[in-house]
Amino acid sequence: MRSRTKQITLLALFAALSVGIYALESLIPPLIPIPGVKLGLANIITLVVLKKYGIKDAALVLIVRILITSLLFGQMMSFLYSFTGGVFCILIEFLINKLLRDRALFITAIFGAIFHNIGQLLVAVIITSVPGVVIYAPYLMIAAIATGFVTGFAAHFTLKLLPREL
Amino acid sequence: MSDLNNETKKSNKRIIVLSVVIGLIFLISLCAILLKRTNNSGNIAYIYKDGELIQTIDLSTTSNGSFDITGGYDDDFEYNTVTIKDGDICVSDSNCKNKLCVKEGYAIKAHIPIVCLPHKLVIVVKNENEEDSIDAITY
Repeated sequence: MRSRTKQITLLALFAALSVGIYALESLIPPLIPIPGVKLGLANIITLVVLKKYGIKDAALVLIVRILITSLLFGQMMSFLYSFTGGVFCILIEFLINKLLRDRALFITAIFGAIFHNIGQLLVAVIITSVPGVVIYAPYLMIAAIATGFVTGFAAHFTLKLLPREL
Repeated sequence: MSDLNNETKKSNKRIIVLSVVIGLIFLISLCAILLKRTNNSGNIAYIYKDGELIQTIDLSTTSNGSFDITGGYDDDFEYNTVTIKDGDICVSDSNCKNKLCVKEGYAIKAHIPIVCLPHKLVIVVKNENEEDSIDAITY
């Protein structure tokens, strides 16, 4: 049985890592001039923790990351967007990962990215009360497939390289 | 052992099914984007000169061609040649100094109104089918 202190320290480490990755990513200028399209590299950490420790710990890391990054980098609104996107993302990732029995992590990641964007679009529609923002959906879906693929493979190799005893 | 094999087979099947789902989402999105691109009906160009609306052109029904918008006399004579091509509009020639209006290219393709500041000429394209678009979205 792993000690509780060790587990808390590990999760804090992962949360700090994802905040750092998020900060680094925010330095990359947007590649495509469509709001909402970004790499989502912090999702790598969510995936790694989800697969290694389960959904409870992954949700903890995710919420800590969203709180900290919204406080540090975002406006009030970005919390709502990130939170909804994050919850959508982690729930579907948990489900798909379970369906696939821990295999083919990139598929899990792609679905996570897709549902992250769907969640954000929903918030955008509700907040702006302009259903027209849905015209972004196809662009966001294609972007999600591409970025999810990348983050999925990154998470896969991260998991491979992580020491087993961690 | 056979139980384990069964599990693997099951998840193999699911991987294939989910991959197909992803492929479908990709194809549908691609089609949606392509369909939207080609659908340019309802684009209307508004041409303003010195702050007044002098011309509106329905780009989807107007055939290719060009015309001049002139103003001023003698030394102050100014012209902008407006060209309509394949449902898009641009300023193809001008005697203004910096020729930014020419460099801006086609209004719809560039997603920006075309402005010639020295001649106080503005060309805005609006789509009457679209609702009033939002100013900005923040994430």
